[in-house]
Amino acid sequence: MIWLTYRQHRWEALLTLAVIVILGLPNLIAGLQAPSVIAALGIPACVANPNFGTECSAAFNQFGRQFGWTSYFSILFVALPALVAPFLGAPLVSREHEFRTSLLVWAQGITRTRWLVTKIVLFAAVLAGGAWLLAAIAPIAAQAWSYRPARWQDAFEWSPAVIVGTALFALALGVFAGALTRRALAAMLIALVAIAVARGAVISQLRPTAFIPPIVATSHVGIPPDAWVISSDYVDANGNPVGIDRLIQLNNEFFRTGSRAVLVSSDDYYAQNGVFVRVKYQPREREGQLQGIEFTLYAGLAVALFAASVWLVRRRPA
Amino acid sequence: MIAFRLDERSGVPTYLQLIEQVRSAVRYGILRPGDQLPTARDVVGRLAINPNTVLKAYRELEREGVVRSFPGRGTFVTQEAPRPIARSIHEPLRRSLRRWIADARHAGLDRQAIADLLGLALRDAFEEEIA
Amino acid sequence: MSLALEAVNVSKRFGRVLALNDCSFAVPAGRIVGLVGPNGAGKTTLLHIAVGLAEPTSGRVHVFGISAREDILGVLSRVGFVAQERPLYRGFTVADMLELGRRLNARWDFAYARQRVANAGVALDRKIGSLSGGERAQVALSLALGKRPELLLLDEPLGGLDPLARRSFLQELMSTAAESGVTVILTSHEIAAIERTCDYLVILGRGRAELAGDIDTVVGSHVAVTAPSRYEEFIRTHSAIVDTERTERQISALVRVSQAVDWPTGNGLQVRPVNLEELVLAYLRRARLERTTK
Repeated sequence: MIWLTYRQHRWEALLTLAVIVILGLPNLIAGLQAPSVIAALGIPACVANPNFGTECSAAFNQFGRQFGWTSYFSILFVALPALVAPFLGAPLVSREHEFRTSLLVWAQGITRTRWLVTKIVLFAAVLAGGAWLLAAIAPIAAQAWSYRPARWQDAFEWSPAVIVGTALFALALGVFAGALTRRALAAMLIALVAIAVARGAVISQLRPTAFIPPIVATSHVGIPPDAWVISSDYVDANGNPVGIDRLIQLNNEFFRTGSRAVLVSSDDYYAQNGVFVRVKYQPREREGQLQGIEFTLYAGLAVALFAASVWLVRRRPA
Repeated sequence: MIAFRLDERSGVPTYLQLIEQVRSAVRYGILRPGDQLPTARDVVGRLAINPNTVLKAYRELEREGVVRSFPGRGTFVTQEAPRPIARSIHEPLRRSLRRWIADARHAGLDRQAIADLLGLALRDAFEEEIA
Repeated sequence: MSLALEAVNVSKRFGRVLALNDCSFAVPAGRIVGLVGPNGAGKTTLLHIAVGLAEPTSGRVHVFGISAREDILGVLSRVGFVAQERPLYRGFTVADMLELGRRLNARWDFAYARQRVANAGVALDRKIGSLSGGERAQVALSLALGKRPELLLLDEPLGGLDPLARRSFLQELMSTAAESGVTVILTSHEIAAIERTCDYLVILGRGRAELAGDIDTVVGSHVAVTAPSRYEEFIRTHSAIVDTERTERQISALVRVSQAVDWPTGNGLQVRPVNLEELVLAYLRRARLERTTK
């Protein structure tokens, strides 16, 4: 069965490896070159000093000319694991049905369970390895994506937890779609839409607010500089957002009435008038925890979807 | 070794055709005592017929004493099989038949007409005897 | 005598369609069985159930006493199956397909399988995609035989094959049967091929077995009666009518007789033996008639 999986899917494996290499190698090289170029152009000094002059703009432009092309790849690094769903996962079961080879391979001498579980385990192992490789390349490649060091909440996206987790979840989603529809094309489309929706939900909702509820601060003071600010707005005493007109009005008052002499900042003036700062953020210390929770989510869903796929394959006619 | 042929359209059951071909081969000395008949596997491998048909034919021939089957060795024509008709008898008959056929063709009869004529003559001759 | 295959009250429902309806019959070991019936009569479904590729709605199919539901690996080790589509992996070579057989079956006779493929004149390094229909059929058969099964199930093995390919396939199949004594069940629409190669017949119609038995016995127990219409009553009481054709003054019927009948021949009543084709057609016509009148 191991032989069969290899023999049947060796081109897919080769193609996946080729994509990783074609994607990763140029980015890796650029990423290795970037730090010395950044230092040579004197960019760190420019970044540290907010009031930069024309030499700094020239340095930024020079960096952009040399490494600008790599920024497109940052999206691909993130998207690649998700593409496992339609391209590797969806055809796994559905193609056997479509070409009726299920009537051949399930009438030999092994159970359907063993057939599918072996394929899943081998696929998952190879994909986890490939994903790990991608996650190892990413932080180095990221050095060329921007002249500023990446913030931890951006680097989150290409951490091993997310890349490997996404790859496994995508595989499971694809396999399940294939086992459900038994038609390769339908399975690919469903898998593509499902993985996009799932990842979108994670990035926009679950990771910022659902895994661990963010810290709510009532002042801009005291927020760590490396915190991941999720939202920053002004609310009234009941927690309802305050309209921009009211803020402008208060701000004008503050600057006009000379309250500046007494109060330190406009925020204090707002507070006096019933308008409070509300900043939601995740501190950097939670980085490991958040990654752990996200990976567990992907892994848990993957296991559930794999189990459901095996159940479907066993139950339905060949 | 005898090579069987099958006439699917004759209406005669396959096993009877096989039996008759063996009898005929023995009659004309094509198969002699001690000669081996093809194995069932060989026959069906060529004719694509059911193996039991061959076995049935061989069993009937064994019942008639024409052949005998030895497990593991094959089926052979027995010493007690009917003696073939002597060449000295059937050769001249065959030759005069060839001449008769040539005459019939010369007269314009085709193969089917000749066969019909022969069939009628056979019937007349053998039915006359019964009567 | 052991039963190679036994269907016991098998029913199979697909949505609102009842493909098999309380179907029961048995096939003794060592036979070459022709399974005939109109399209949709459930032949494919029955074979799939036998080998565990489908589940019956009710009832069971036993292969040498065990069913796929209770012991799928036990069944698969004794049964070789070739589906109607003769599926093979297109990108594989013939050698790869045989290797697949070796890896996925507990018992595999590699030399035997290779010999079968060689007999068919197919080289081991040929790609499956480049094979002709006849060659594919031979490779699929060799694959099914490699595990040295005791029962071989072939779903429409001759479909789409040209006459030469059909002949080669049957030659190979028959010599295998002669050599190994394997029980063969094949479905086909070609009654001539069945008459040539089979010694047991099962007719499926209306989702159940209309007839099952030795071909010689079955053919011997049916006759075709042609008589003036007034004999219809006599025919009815002395035999089981399978199919009739009536004109104004005559009735012509294919009937089954369970014991010797003293037919009143003369006065226009004629009785003659039937051949396999007429017999099968009569049963199939009856099945279709009953289906449309339901």
